[in-house]
Amino acid sequence: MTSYCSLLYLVIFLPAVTAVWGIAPRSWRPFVLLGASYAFFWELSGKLVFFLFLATLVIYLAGLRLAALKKTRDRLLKETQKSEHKAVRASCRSRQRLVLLIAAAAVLGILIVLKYGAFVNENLNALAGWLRLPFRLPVPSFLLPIGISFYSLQAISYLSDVYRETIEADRNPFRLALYMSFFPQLMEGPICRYAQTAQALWQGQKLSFRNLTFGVQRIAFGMLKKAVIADRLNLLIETVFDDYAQYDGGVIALSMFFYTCQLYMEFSGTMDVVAGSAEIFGVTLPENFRRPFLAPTISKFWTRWHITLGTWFKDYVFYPLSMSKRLTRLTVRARKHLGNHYGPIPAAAAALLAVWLGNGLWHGAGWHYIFFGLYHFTWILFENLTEPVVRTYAAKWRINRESLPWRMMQITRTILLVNVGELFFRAASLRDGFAMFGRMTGDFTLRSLTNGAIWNLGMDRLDFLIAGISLALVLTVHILCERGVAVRETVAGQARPVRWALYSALFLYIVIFGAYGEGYVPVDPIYAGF
Amino acid sequence: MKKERVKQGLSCLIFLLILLLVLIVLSRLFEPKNNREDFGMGEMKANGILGEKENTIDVIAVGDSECTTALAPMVMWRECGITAYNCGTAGQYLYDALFYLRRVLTCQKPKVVILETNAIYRECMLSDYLYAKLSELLPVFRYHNRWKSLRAEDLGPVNYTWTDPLRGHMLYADIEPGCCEDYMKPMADVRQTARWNRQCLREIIRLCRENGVEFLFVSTPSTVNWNMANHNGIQALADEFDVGYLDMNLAPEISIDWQKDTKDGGDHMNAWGAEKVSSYLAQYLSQQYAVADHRGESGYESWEEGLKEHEKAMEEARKKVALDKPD
Repeated sequence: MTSYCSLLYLVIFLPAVTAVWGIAPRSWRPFVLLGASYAFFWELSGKLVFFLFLATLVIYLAGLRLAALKKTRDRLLKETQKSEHKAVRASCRSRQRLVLLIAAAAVLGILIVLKYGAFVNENLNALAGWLRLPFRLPVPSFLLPIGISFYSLQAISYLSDVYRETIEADRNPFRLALYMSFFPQLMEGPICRYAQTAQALWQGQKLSFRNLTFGVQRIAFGMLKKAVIADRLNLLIETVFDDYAQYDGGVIALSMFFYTCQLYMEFSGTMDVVAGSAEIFGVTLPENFRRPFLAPTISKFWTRWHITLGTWFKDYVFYPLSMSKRLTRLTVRARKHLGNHYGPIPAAAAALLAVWLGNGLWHGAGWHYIFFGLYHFTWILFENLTEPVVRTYAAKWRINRESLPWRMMQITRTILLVNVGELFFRAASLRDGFAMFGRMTGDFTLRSLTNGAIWNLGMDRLDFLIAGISLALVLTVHILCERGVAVRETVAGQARPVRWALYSALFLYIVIFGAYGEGYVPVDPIYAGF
Repeated sequence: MKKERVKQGLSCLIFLLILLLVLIVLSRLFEPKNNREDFGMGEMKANGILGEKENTIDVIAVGDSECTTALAPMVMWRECGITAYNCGTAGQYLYDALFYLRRVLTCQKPKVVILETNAIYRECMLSDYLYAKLSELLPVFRYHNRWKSLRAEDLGPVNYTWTDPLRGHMLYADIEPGCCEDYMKPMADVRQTARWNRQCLREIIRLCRENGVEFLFVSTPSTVNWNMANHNGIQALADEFDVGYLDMNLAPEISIDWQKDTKDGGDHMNAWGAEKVSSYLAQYLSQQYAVADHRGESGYESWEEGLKEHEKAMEEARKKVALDKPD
């Protein structure tokens, strides 16, 4: 099983699990899902399933310990005088914090060693070489368990939420294990919170016709994005990115746009397959995308793109840091000197820097990922810093910031900035990223488009045509959704012949125009690699 | 409530049946109507067998590039009058070989099917196996990309007309000497076969038995791909399935000259290596399997023409080598 869009998953695994889950008694259903999830993990990562088990065990025991400390605190609060309450709370809090830190360090430690061990040692060796120090660290080469970047963040969120007492520690190890391993979200997310999915997963509600049809409908739409658009665009993207020195700036710009498009169609398409799979089991997963290319600013873009990662960083990195004593003091002091708009910016910038370094590194161990994170950090900071200036000049020149042209200009600017970021993200290294950016800006020409060379980069005219039609189709659905039209319900509410015709047309469109089989190279899921 | 669920179940079933019907119709439309590349048929040389007269092929070989380069059916014709077809393709997986055979055995009744063993160690993934199986049932999944080149003829019947004069053999005139002549050092190691490869192999052998066809493993000479552990693995399979095994890497009488008979440093045979291998194999099949000699029989004239093409290609190969030789 290589991805959620593979035949093995869609034709064998998912229907088989659905069938067993559907006929199993209600109390067995969570165990069917748990067994299927561990079998899924085993199929992809074999014995590395141990790491998933270990992470689950760590957070289970830590959760119980946190709950026990909470109980002790509550008992002591009842038994002691009010004047002692502060000391009791502080004492319990510090012990809880210690438990949280140890457990989080264990979960993150495994992730860091396995994912970043080689990167850190390589860079330390390079530094030692540069400083002429007489040591070289071994560069380890570890196999990564599938989805480690996703389930580790889920584990941290569970620990933090128990620590913050927004959820109760789970005393049922199987429910917690299912929350950590639910197979549709294991490989590429979304990064769920315990409160969002754990109970629904454990409930094991009856297989319903509505859930089944809506799930399949969503899976089909995801397959359209992935198999027809993303995998088709890959033909040109690979040709150009693998040998960019051969191409002019126009071609590099086109491949940059195509890559951004591929990344979105691939990831959001897979998310549709994932959400559709979960829907069949009566579980609603949090959305990871909300029409990101209609965002007016970079910061708004990140509230629409990989939403669950963004909110994770916001809740577990940004807020704890910006609310820390030191940064709060800094904000108070800065407000006095810089005013209400600029005052909070230094503290927010410090927290934001940590968020974007983390975001970049989360995607992979490489300097181009770090650059990608810092690139977005810079633009978000820039937007914050220039907002009062833009507001002043817009008022002065009587520009309506709600008008369509202004919004279109903002959307276009955001799309351009995001695309440049994705160029560095896709490049094999930071050096290649800069070289491609240099060629794109320094040697920009439409020559390849006018002399027909563009049709020889892996995609012929008909491929361009199908990609264009399919993109228009997806864009139309997005615009309708943005305007509040319930597209899925509208389709499901049609008379049977219309509904069947629409579903069959979508299915046959994917079968005929999908970029699979002879002439196409199977494309590995991009986000599963993170 | 129960009535409602039955109604919903029936409605799903009818929808799926309609969809299946449409897929069957589309499969008919998308299937290439001739076995030529311009009709959308991939792997034209291997599929040339579909254009052969019915029941005229006595030996069919499947496998990967080791097979396509080493087995020259025209040499086998010249030496022993054997009608063989090389259905090997570059990087062929066992499920490809299985589906080739399943298709070919509907129009040919060979005496022997040969599987070049290098393909046995190319791991098959279940997903790809499923795709091949699905494509066999509903060819629209294999040929869907033909939407770009559909034409009026695609509404008509299938009529395969083309065949390859060299019967699937890829003849190479390049010479790049190999090394490691002691690559078949005795050892006890036994290379294991992947799970889905074994499954495919089982199906191939069963298919041959059902059709009354002898099955034979053949390992063609290759210093790069072959060794004793591989040999032991195939020997174990041959014993397990009770089929024949000929390892030409252990047959010094073939007299492969690794300085001259390989096109890429011992990996594949070139034209001269293929001559030796095919000549040896023809003798072996005649003696061990009593494969018929069709030389001089009516209805086999195209084989003589094929032989002429082969000799012409060999002559050109010799000229090329003479030209390439440094003064």
